[in-house]
Amino acid sequence: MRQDPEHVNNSFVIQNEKAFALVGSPNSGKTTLYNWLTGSNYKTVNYPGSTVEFSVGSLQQEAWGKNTIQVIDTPGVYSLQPKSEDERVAIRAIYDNPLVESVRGIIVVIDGTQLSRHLMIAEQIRETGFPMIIALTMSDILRRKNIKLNLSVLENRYNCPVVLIDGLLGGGIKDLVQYLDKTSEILSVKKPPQWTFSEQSERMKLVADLSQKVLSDNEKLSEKFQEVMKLTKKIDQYLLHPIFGILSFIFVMTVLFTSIFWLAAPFMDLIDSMFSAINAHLDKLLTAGLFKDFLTRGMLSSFSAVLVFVPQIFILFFGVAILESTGYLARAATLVDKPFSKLGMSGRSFVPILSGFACAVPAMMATRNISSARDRWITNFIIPLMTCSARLPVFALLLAFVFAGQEAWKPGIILALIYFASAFIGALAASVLNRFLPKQQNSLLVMELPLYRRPRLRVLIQQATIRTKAYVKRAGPAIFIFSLLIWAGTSFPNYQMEMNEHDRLEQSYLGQVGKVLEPLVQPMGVDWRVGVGLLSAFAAREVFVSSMALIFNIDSEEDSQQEGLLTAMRDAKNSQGRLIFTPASITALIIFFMIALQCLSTVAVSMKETNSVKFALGQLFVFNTAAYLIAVLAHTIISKF
Amino acid sequence: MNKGMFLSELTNADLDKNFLICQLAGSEEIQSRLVEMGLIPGAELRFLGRAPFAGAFLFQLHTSYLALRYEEAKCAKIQNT
Repeated sequence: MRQDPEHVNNSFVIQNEKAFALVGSPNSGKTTLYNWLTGSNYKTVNYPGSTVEFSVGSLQQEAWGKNTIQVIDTPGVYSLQPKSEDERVAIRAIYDNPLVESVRGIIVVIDGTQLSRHLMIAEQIRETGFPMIIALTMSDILRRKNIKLNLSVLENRYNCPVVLIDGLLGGGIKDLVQYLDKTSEILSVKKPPQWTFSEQSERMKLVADLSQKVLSDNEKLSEKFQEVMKLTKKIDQYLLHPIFGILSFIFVMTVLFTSIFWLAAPFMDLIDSMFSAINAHLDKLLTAGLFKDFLTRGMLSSFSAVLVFVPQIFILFFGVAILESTGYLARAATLVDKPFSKLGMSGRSFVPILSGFACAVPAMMATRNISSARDRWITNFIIPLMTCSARLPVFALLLAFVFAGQEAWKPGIILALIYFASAFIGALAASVLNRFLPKQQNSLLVMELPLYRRPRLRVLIQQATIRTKAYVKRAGPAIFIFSLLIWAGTSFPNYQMEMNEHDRLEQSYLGQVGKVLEPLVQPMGVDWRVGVGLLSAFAAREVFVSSMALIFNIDSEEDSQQEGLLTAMRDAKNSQGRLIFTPASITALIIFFMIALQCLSTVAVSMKETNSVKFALGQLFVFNTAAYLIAVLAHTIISKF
Repeated sequence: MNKGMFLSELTNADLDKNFLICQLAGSEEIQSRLVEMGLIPGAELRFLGRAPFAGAFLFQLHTSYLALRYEEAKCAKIQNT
C-alpha cells in the first residue's frame, strides 16, 4: 500500500502518462541529465521517516515539445541491493512510487569514464524486466580525448538503446526523449536480484570484460585514460597534500563561510529596506489601532524574520552545490574524516557543521548526505552549538557594552574566541555522545573521489533555488507563528490603555511571565526585563536586541540607537538598586546565548529531519539547562572578583 | 613486501606502486561495499598515499579515485603485481 510522501500536492500526480526512473551511481551525471530533461519543472519529496529525497518532474514542453512524460530522479546508488536508506528509497521510487501510476522504463545513467564499475547497475536492471535505455554521460570528455566506444557491445548485452550524453551542451538528450516515447508496454517486472559476494564478484569480472570490449577499438587506451585523469591528478597533488591540502581546505572554507556574510549583506539590506518601505507605507495608509499593529509589528516583522535569511541560505546552498558538483566536497570530506571520526562523526558531517555557523536550519537539512544514522544523529545534535549568524547582533551589543570606548580589535578577539569556543563545545558534546551512544553499525567512508569537472551554472542556481524554497516552506511557518505569539504576548492585555511602553510591557502577558521567571534569571545577574528579552529571543535570537531597546526605552536624543541603548544599559538598575549589566552578568549572557537552543525554528526542523520529537525536545532541554547552569556558575565566580 | 599484506599496511615507501587484490575479509557490510566499488579479487590498484592526520588511504582503480578508512583498507588482502 502506498504511503503518501510529505509536502506533495496530489494534483501533481499525473495519471496514465509514461514515467521513467533515472537510476545510476553518485557522480554519474544523473542530476545534470535530470535538469536537462525537466528544467525546473519538478518537485523534491521524501518518504515518511526518510530523509533521502527523490524528485519527480515532467519533460520541458518548450525544449522537447511534450510534457506528458514523467521522469523520476532516484538517489545515486552503486547497487540496488537494499542495504542503505539510499538504496531502499531508489527501489521504492521505482516499484512503489506514490506520485506516478507506474514506472514504464528505466534510464540507466552510466559515466562513460567509469564503465567497469557503473555497469553493475545495468546488470541488475537487466534482470528486472524493465525496458532500459542506457545514457552514457561524460561523452564530451571521451570525445576530447579521442576515446571511441563500441556501443553495439552494450546494445547487444542489454538489448536496449545506448545514447551518448553531453552534460554541458545537452547533446544526445533529443535522441533520449525519442526513445522514451517509443518504449513499449511492460509485461511483467521483478525486483532486482540479491547476489551473494561470489555472484557479485563474478558479475564485476563480467562487466570489466564487457567494458574492455566497449573500449577495444582504441589504441594506447591506458594513455588516453591517463590524459582524462591528468588534470584531476595534478589538482589532487595539492588538494590532498598533507600540508597544502589542509591550507587549501581552510582557504576554501573561509571563502565559503565569509561569502555567506559579505555577499548576502547587500541583499539582506535590500529585503530589510523593502520591509521598512512597506511598513512606512502601511503606517501612512492605516489608522492607528490593533489591525495596523497586527499587520506591522506582528505579520510584517514575522515575514521579515523569515525572508531576511533567504540570501544567506541561498548563497550557502549555492556554495555547497559548487563544491559538490566540481568534485571538491568529496576531497574535503576525506581530509577531515579522521579527526571527525574520533568524535563519532564522519567527513560527510563537515559541511553541515560548517553550515551551522550561518544557520542551523539548512545545516540540519544538509545532514541527509550522511549515510550512517548514528553519525547523522550526532551531527544533528551538535549543529545548534555552532555560533550562528543570528547570535552576532547579540554578541555585538554585549561586547560593545563591555569594551565601550576601547580599540575595536579587543571585542574582535573576544568574538573570534567565542567562535572557537562554540566549535570546542560542539566537539566536546560529540565526543561525549560518541562514548555513550551504542555503536549500532559500522560507519563507512569508502568514498569515490570524482574527477574534477566544470559545473553548469544553470543547474547550480536551480538546485540552490529549490533548496532555498524548501527552507522557507519548512522553517517559515514556525518562525512566523512564534513571532506572532511574541507580538501578542508583549501587546496584550493592555493594548488599548494609555500608559508608557515600559509599563505596558511590564503588565503584558510576556512581562507577567518575565516577572514569574525573574527568580530564575536573577542568578545570572539580570532582572525580569532581560528575562523578557531572553524569552522573546526564542522567536529569533536577534529579537533580543530590539527587545532590549523597547524594554529600556531608549532616549531618542542620543546620536545613534545603539548609543542610546548602551547608555540605558549602563544606568539600568534592578529593584535592589544594583546595576544589572556588569562584566559578570554580560559574561553569563554571552555564555547563555552561546549554548542555549533558543531558536524554535531549529527545533521544528530538528523534529522533521530526525523524525523524532524526543530528539528535538531532548536538544532543547539539554542545551538550555547546560547554558543556564554554566551561565549561573560563571556569574557566581566572576562577581566575586 | 610480504605476500598476503593488507591495504592498511601500505606506507609512503609503497607510493605510486600497483597491487592486486587477492582476497576480501571483514564484515558483510564492508565487503559488499568494497565489491560495489570494484575492489574485487583480481582488481589492480595504485596506492596514492594517505589523507592528512594519518587519515584515509587513497587509491586509483582504473579511472576512479577511492578513499578508504583504515578499518575498510584492513579488509582487502593484496599482493605485488
